[in-house]
Order: sequence, then C-alpha cells, then structure tokens
Amino acid sequence: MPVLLGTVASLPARAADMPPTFNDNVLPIFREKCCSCHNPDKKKGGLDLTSHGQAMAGGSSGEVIAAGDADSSHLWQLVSHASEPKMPPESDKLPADMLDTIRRWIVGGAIERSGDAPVARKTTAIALAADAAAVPEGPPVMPPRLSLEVVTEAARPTTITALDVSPHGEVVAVGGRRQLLLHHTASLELLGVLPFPEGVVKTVRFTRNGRLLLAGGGEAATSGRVVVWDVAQAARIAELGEEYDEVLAADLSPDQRLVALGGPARVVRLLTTADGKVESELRKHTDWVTAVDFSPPASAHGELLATGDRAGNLFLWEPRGGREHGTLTGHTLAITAIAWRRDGAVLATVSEDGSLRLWDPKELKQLKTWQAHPGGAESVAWLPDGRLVTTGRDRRVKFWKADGPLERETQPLADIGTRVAATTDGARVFAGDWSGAVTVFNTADATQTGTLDTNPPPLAKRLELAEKQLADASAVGQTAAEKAKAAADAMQLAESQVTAARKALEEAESQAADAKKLEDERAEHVKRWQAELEFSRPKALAVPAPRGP
Amino acid sequence: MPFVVAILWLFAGALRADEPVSIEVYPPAVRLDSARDSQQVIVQARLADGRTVDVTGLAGMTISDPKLASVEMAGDRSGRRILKPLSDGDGLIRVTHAGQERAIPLRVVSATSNPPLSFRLDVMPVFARGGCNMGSCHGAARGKDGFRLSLFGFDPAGDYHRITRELPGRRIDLGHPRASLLWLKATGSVSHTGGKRLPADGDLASRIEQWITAGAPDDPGTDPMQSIPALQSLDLYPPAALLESGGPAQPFVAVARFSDGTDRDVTDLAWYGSNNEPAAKVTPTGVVSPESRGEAFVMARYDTITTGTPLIVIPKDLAFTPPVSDGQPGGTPWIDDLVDAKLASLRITPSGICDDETFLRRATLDLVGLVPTLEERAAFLSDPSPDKRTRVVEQLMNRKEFVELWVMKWSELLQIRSQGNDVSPKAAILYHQWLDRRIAANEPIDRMVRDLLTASGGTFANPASNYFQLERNTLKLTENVAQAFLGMRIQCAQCHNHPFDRWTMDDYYGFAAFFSQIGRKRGGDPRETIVFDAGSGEVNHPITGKPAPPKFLGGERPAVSDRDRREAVAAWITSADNPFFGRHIVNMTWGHFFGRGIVHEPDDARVSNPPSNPALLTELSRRFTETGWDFRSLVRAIVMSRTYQRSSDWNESNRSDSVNFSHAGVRRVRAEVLLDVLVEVTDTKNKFPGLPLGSRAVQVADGRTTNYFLTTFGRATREDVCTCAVRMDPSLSQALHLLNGDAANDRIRQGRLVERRLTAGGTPTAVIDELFVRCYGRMPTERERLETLVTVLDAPDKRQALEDVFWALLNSPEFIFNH
Repeated sequence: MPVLLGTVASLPARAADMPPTFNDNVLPIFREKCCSCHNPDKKKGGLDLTSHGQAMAGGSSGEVIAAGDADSSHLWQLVSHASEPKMPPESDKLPADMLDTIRRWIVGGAIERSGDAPVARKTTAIALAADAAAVPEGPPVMPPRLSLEVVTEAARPTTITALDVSPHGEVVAVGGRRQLLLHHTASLELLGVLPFPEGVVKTVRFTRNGRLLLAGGGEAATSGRVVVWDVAQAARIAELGEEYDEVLAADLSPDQRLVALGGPARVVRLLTTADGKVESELRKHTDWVTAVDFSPPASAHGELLATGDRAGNLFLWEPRGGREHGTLTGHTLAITAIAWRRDGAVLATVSEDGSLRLWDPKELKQLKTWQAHPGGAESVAWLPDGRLVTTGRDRRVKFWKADGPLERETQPLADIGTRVAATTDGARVFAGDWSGAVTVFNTADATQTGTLDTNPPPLAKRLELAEKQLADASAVGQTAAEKAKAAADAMQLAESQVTAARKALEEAESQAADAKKLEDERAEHVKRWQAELEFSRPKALAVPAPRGP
Repeated sequence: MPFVVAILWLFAGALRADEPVSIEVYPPAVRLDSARDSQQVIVQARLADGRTVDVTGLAGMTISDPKLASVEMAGDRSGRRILKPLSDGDGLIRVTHAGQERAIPLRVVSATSNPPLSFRLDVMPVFARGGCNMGSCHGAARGKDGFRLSLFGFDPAGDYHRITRELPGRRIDLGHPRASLLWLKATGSVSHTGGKRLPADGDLASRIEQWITAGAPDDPGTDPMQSIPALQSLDLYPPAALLESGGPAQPFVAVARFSDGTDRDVTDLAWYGSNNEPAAKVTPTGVVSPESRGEAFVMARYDTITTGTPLIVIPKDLAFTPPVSDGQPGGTPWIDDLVDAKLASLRITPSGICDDETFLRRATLDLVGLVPTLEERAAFLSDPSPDKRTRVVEQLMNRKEFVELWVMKWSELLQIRSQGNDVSPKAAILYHQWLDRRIAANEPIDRMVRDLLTASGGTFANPASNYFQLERNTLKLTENVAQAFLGMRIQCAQCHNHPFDRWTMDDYYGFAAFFSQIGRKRGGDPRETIVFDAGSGEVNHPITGKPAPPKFLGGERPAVSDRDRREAVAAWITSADNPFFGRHIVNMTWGHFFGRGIVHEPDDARVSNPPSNPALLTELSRRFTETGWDFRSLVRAIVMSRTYQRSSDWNESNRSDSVNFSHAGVRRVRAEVLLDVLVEVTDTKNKFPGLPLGSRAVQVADGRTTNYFLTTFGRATREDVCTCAVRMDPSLSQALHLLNGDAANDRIRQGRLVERRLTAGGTPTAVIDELFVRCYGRMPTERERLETLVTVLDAPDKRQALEDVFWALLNSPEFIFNH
C-alpha cells in the first residue's frame, strides 16, 4: 500500500500550475480505490471510472463530474464525504493528497490528457428566470377584520411547524395548537386568529392567488384533518380528511378540485374538495409522508403532484387518476420540504441528508445538488427571481443563487430552523425555529428586521396589561404632579425664608447703624466731657502756683 | 454470606427458631439532598435458625429529631417506609423490633432547594423504567413505529436529539407539555402500541412534564456527560436473604451512588429480575415472594449497572439435621468446608464417598482421558494403604496423557487449527508443539498466557504469534481474548451497553484499542507470517466517531505510548490482582472435573450469571495465584477433595441439586476421549492424517482434522472460542452410529478380542467378566453375569454371542458416561 501511494503521489510532480489529467493522475487513484466496483463489468450504480469517457458520462443518477466545479460534482461530494453514500463505502476517506488531486483535476477542467482543452461545462437549465406569473391579477387579498382573541395561550412559544406568506396579500400565517395566527407582513401586527379545534397545525399553504388558505394537522396518534378558508371572508369552505394520526403534509390542487394529504399512515390520499371523498390513494411510500406539493398551473408538463417521505423517497404523480409519473432518486434521508418553482419547470427538495436538490420533472433528472445545511435541511422556498432560501439544523437562513452558490446567510437563529417563507416580492423572509420564534430578515443583506409574536396573550390579558400600563402611566403623572407641588411648596417656603432673612438683615444692619451712631454720640460725649474735665482742671498744675488760698 | 448464615444456624440450637437474633436496616445510611429527594427504608430480621424475614411493617421507626424528615409508609403497598426531607441537619433513624434495636445515620441537606431536572439523571431513567427503550420496543435497532431510543439508553445524546429535534414539533410541545406526544403515549392517553407505560398522575409522568415545561433542556456543556455526576455503583438491599417457601415477601431497596458523593433512591426506577422465577418471583416494583425450594439471584438494573442479591428459599417447616463429619482424614478441607457450608444453608445432605472402582474410572477418565486397564484396576483394588487414592492421582498426573488432555483443552481456547493461507498446517503443528512444551513443563499459566498475548515474530520462529493469525479481525480478537482468558462474553457491548452485565461500549472499544496496532507481514517462507507491533492504528468508538483510548475492562486507562499495547493488556490480564483471569482458569478447571463450572457456562461470567458458590471460587483463585499459578497443584486439590469423590447416587435432599456439587454428576464422555476409550477397550488402533497409526484422538494437533465419529459426538471445530463448541447434547446420529455404524461393530471385529480369549482357552464367564471390567471398570453383578451367560450358552455361535455382549456394553449409558 505505501508503495502504491508513492507512485500516485510522484506523478503529479509536474509544473505546479498544470492541472492534473485523468490519464496521468486521476486514473491511478480510481484504479486503486474505486475501480474494483466501478469497472465495465460490475458498474456499480451504473458508473464506470476506468476511462475518461465513461467517467464523464456518469452513472444511473446522472453525471458525476461537473468540469470546473468540484462542489457541484456528485463524485466529489461522495469522496469528500460531503454527501451520502460516502465513498469508498465502509472505508476511511481517501488520503488528503488523493482528494486534492481529484479536486484540482475537476477544477482544472477535468481534462483527459495533457494538452487537452478543459471539458466544456454543461449549462444547467436553471437560468435565473424572471417569474412571469409572480404577481397574480386583481387587488391583493386581505382578511376581513378578525377576532384577535387567541384560542390557546402557551406557557412558552412552541416549535414552529407551519408557516406561509400569501403570494398576493400582506399576510403571513403561523400555525399553532388549535389556532392559526395571521400577521401583517409589513407591520408584523396580529391581524387575526383562525381557530383550528382539530388540533395542531402541521402545514399551512396559501393558494397562488392568495385567496384560499389551507391548514393540515390534527392530534398526534388520534386524528388528522385538513381545513380550507376563504381568506377574504375568513370563512371555512372545506373540512376534509379522516386520518388516525395528524396530517403532516397537505396541498390544494391549482384547480382547487383536490386536496392531497399524507402523514404517518404512509399513504397519500387525494380527496375531492367538493365532498371530501377519497378519489385515489397513493400507496408507494415506505415511511411517513412528510411533504406533498402540486405543480403550479403554468407547468408545461401538465399537472403533477410531488410527494416525499421520511425514508427519502420522492415520487411524482399525475393527480388525475393517481398514476405514477416517476421517481426522483437521490435523497438518502427524510424529505423535509418540496417546492415547485412558479413556472413549474424546476422542483426543489430539501432533506435531512442536508442537501438541496433541483430536479427536472419532465426528464426525471437531477439538475443540481449541494449541501445546504449540515445535519439536515428543513425547509425551502423560491424567491420570485429564481433564487432560493432555505433553513435547517445549522440554525441559519441561507440565500442561494439559482445554480447553487451561497449568496449570503443570516446570523444564527435561536435554535434549529424549521420553516421558511418569502414575501411575493422576495424582499423579506420569515423563518420559524424550534424555540418557537419567527424572525424576519431582509433578503438584500440578510439582516434581521423584526420578529412575530407567536404566542400572543388573550385579549383579557392584553386589556389588563393596557389598563395596568395606563394605571402605571397615570400613577407616574400623579407622582410627578405631587413632586412638582412639593417642589413649588418648598420653593415658596424658601422664598419666604429668604425674605425674612433679608428683613432681619436690614433690621440688624439698621440696628447696627443706630448702635454705631449711638456709640459715636457716646464717644463724642466722652470726648466732650474729657475735654470739659481737662479744661476745668487748675492750670497750676502746669505752672507752679502758690499753695492754699 | 451463606457461609455465615450456616454457621449462625449451626450454633443457634438453643434459641427458638422464630426468635429474631438481630435486625438490620437498609440502606445503612440515609442522605436526603433536595426538596424532591426521598429514601425508602426496609428492616430485615435474622431468626435463630438463619432464616431472614422482612419486618419493615412491624418495626417501630422514629427520627431523633422529627424536624429533619418525615416517615411514612410507601405508597405502593410494598411495605417499605419512605423518608422525606423537612429541614437540614444530622440525626439518627432509630428502629426497634422484638427487643432488637438498630440506629442508622440520617443527613438532610438543601431540604428546600429544588434543582432543575437533568435529562440524563432524571428523565432517561424514566424510559428505562417504563420499558420504552427495551429491545422489543423503541430500543430496537430500527426503533418502533417510527421512534427509536438507544437500547437501554446507551446513547443519551442521541436520545435527546430524537425526542426533542428529530421531528421538530412532533414529540414534544414546549408550550403545552401535557399535550406532548411523548407524554400522551407514555401515559396511554392516546393509542400506543406499547400501551400505558406510566400512570398519568404518577411521579414519573410528572417528571417528563416538568422537564418539558422547563423547555426540554439538555444537560449543559459540549460534553454533557462531564457536567453531571457519573453513576458509580448500584447497591441492592438486603444483600442476602434466606426465606421460607410461602413466607412473607421481601421488598428490596436500590440505591444508586454517584461520583459527587450523592446518592439516589432508585427503587422505583430500577428494573428487577430473578434468574429462578419458580423459586423467587420478583414484581416490577422490587418485591420478592418466596415460592418453591431453590436458589435465586434477584437482580436490579439501573442505567448501565446490574447488581444482584443471592437468595435461598427453603421448604416450610423443614426438619433438617446437618451431616456430622465422619471423622475420616483426607479430602481438601478448604474446598470441602466451603461446599458443605453452602449445602447446609440450603438444607442439603451431600452424598457419600464413591467406592474405589468408581473413583478409579472417574479419575482416569478425567485426568488422562482413558479407562483403567485390567492391571491398573487390579493393582489399585488390592492396595491396602489408606492413601492409595492420593498416589494413583499422582501417578495419573505424571503420565503424558495428562499433558495431552490439557493441551487439547487449551488448543480449543487458542483455536489451534490450520486456516487457508493465514495459518499453514505446519504453523498449526508448531503452535501445538509450543503449547505442549509449556503444559508438559507445568509452566505457570500466567507466564504462558502473557507470552502468548505479547507474541511477536514469525509464526514458525515463535509459534505463539499464530494466535494473532488465527483471528485477524481486531474486534473479534478482542472478544476472543475476553472470552478465553477472562471468561466473559462482551460481544453485546459492540453495539450497545451490555444489558445484563457491567460492560459499556466505552469498555468494549477501550479494550479493543489494545489490539488495534498489531501488524502482519509475509515472512521469508510464504507460509509464514510475521506478527509485529505496528505502533499505529486505532479503533473508533461508533457513537463519538473518535479513537477509543485503551482502557482495561472495568479498570483504568494505562499510559501506552511508546510500547506494545499488548504488553500492557497482557500484564493486566495475568496479574494476580486481575479480578477475572485467575477465577476463570480455576473455574474452567473445576468445570472439567465436575461437568459444570462454579460459574456455568465457564466462559459466561457476568453480573447476572453469578457463581453458585462465590466463596469457593474466590478461595480457589486465591490459592491458585498464591501458589504461582501452579496448575498441577490446583488439579490435585480438586481431585483429592471429598466433593470430587462423592458418589453419583442422590438422596432425597440433594436429588434436585445440580449446581452445588452435593453429588457427583453423570457426564457424557467427550468425543475425543470416547473414541480413544473405544479404541482402548476393543484393542484396536486409530489412524489420523499426519499422525502415526495408533495415535489417539486427544493428540490431534490441527483442529481441522476430524472424522465422522468425532464430529457426530460434538468435537469442537475450534472455529469458535466458546466452550459451548464442545457439544455434549445427545443426538439420534450418535445413537445410530454406535448401534449400526462402524464405531462399535467394526472395532469389535478388528480387535478380535473375544476370539483371542476363546482361542486361549478362556471360558465364556471369564470373557464376560473381562468385558464388564474393560467397559465399566467393574465386575458384573451376579444377575448380570447369569443373564448374560444364559444368552451366550443358548447361542449356536459362542464367539458371535460374546461379541454381541461386547457390542451391547459399548452401547450402554454406563460406558459412554463418566459417573
């Protein structure tokens, strides 16, 4: 083994700027590590790595090498252990120098032999398509004035399991236990509460025209239901489903004829909205159904339904008749969310395997995949210009360019991100997390601009609070007034004291002046009488004079 | 403890049987250290005849300072008392019953504080108690109904993740704890395949609710296991009990002790089991009821620790007089006294000493794998000296067959066999010779095993290094070392903490780390491999994904840098202080002579499979290591004990005993010895590949060499280190092979023994007598001789008839069993 390593390592000792070639540098690595399975005879996974042509042709899940872009190359994802199944299986990662050679080979254009031109990169179908159907016709749909009284108040916010923004109206809906909260997307104020006595809301969707709102959920291990409201009337127009466990995923067909729902029963049921009858049952999932999504009406391929389960299975169906359209193979762990691009040409899925995958529903081909959230991606939404926003277990909300590169990401959420939804214009994004917070971010710079109150108190409590605040305010006013009065009183007192003192001073001064005057007078008297005395004294004393008379 | 009980019993004749002679209060000290702490207490009385009775309900219990704690009856009607804290301070719990008095210390600290609940310390135990993480429920490798917990909770971090975050919003509801699916399912409030596991209004369900109310927090720190006190031991009280069948139940109390000096009453959290339900039935709440006569080991498991209490149930109002010594010299007193003490506590009278013929056959089979020859038998029987058994044992132990027998036993432990390209037949034979030289020289066992486990160099130059060629997988090698030299099966802990023993995955991978740096390369001869210390290589712990540092089983982590890790582990294994090695070797040896170890199976020592006589095993091990691991003196002590020399005839009191050595066991002779004996008594010769004509099956070096007879009678293939690879169970093919196959018939004809005797003028009577002596080691009884003779005399062909007699004897149980 060390001997072999030596030969492999010695080959790339060429001009450092020359990219490695398949024949000289990469094939020896493949021969040593990969070709016992990926050879023309065994061809595990449909992949043969023994020649440049075969390697570039890829395997049964599509091409494995995207020349010039290692991170988008399936082969690189697997050998670098960024994605499952790790390659080589049941073994340690390839040594760092081998990985480096493979990476540099891909980045350098995946050339076959020295002197070759880099392999032309295939252009993906995921161009930044401006979304023609972005703004539905007619005025925005807003709910009427609604009761703001909550059905339940929790001791603390609870994990956000359902969140959606109306595509045509300034409303964001947040599911909870026994209720659905509607907030204004701009002011973030609570617009109203739609009761959901059926249980916990596990999924919520606005129709693309913003007119209808669907919520699915129920009581775990007991019952599952789907309810549809007319948003403008805030009226229930359909109540469907008789599940024995909660509905985990549901969607309304674009023609509003069908509701698709799924959950722990491993069955996707298609119910007619008209009478709630089961039209068809899709029994191909091997684990809990975790995501269902109808394609938008504009889709060129006709109406399709995408469904995913906890085992990572992803299927496409023709809703009418329930015929299978195809299987999308790639995810290795639970599908957590499915989102059709609004033109229906691309389907985005995220999974607990951490990856985001883009699919061509017509060709049943994977167009693109990348690791979005290590540990698990939980939710995905399209922005109108064809970019994507996701959240997941790394607690970040991430914005992606249409073909993969990370554009920007937010500061971490309080806990793992569970749901994400964008406004119609794509300017703002709402992200729900495990701790029960919904945080609002600006798409332009990924900064946080606000939060939704996901656990608003009952009205009585709000009133009580307001009254208390008022009382507090008036109490403060009263205190201030009292203080002012006391201060004025004190000032008055002080002023009177000053006056009195001044008067006392004047009196004292005049007394002092009087006293001085008197003193002067008395002094004059003394002087006078001294003078008198002096004067009256016999002069003999000065001139000796005869004694006796 | 049974020993003490027996002595008490022996000298308590003057007292009335039902009079308590002492009372004990368990646990021996009570510490309460938070507002929600509590401790259950039991009182056990010891009666004059050695029996024990639970008197918790009858005893008076007061606290020296009533302000410290309250005393109530426990809510579960088990009869236990429960102490709950009132205020801080130290005091005494005074207990009185029938004139006896006991006081135990009580300490109350932080009586008013209510610290936050810990996921690992407070919540995880609920899943174990509720049975949620059992192998048949969510503890299964793939979980149950979409929800998985680690088996018996070996992966708390993973369990925390799965409960709180695997499916966000599904299993717990932070805002509405009682609406959390976890709580609803556990309490059976919604449909649950496992039904109701916890009462909705009970303490355990309330713990889950409180923990979710607090936000379902994980234990703090990047490695939460470091932030919480580690469980160090589990004490189960009472430590022993001798109950009367149908008498009052005995409630148990379990106390878990932690690294920070605190303890917890886990009586209501532990799992309880009994290894003998017909004798002692234990309820899920830890109350044992004595049913029928027998011994039971009552176990409690909490977290990773299983611990147990030995318990004896004796018949009600049994009249029993312990046997008085016959005053005869001999035996091995330190063995016999310990065996007899145990039997006395069980109220069992052992069988007497067997006669000389039985002893000679038994000892010859056990010591040299043969039956006594006619001459040996005659010489022994005619020897009048009182110490002739001692001398014959000495003679047998000096024979080369004694060495060969034990070389075979060790070859099984070391799995000596050729194996494809890894071990050539030449290497296997050299390996066998290496072993043979060591055993022949009576080399101390510890040195032999140490040399084996540290062997480096070529498999030809130093044949002991074949040990590392025969098993090249690190984990399998680790398991083999533990099983062959420590008598423990640690396989379970590869994937999860051992449910019925102390071994965790940390122990398993820490032990495997000692064997992770063994290097192997081709030698000059292509058949030879050179084993060396590679100095690098690690075993990754599957949960952390990081290399496990080397750690002795249940012991410390030694410094191993700059030396062969095997030296460290070999020194530890073969140290006289090693708690497993000496016990395992003596137990294995004991098992050879009794057909059953003191621990049975001999290589399955674990907490939940305790020795039938712990004191005996400890004493054997102590003496063995003190004598410098002298194997022959160990064998001498065992074979010369009265216990070994007991008759296989049973009496009423010991008829059902099979584990306490109150009578000799009747044991099928193992395959190799049976074949050798068959050859010996028929005067024939065997041929094995690579060995000269006339070699014995016991001498076969390569485990791959076998024949139909040996395979049929359960010879170990040496592909598995387990002692169970030597199969002793009867089968139809064994019976058919002896009856119809070439084993008996062809050998009788080849040996022509009968023909030779008749030609030499032997009478049918003399031939019959010789056949009996050859096969059974005894003369026929009058009736046997007469009936056999009549058959022979009636037959037209005397030779044929006598050979039929021979055939019948070889097919009889008395021949194929050692008794």
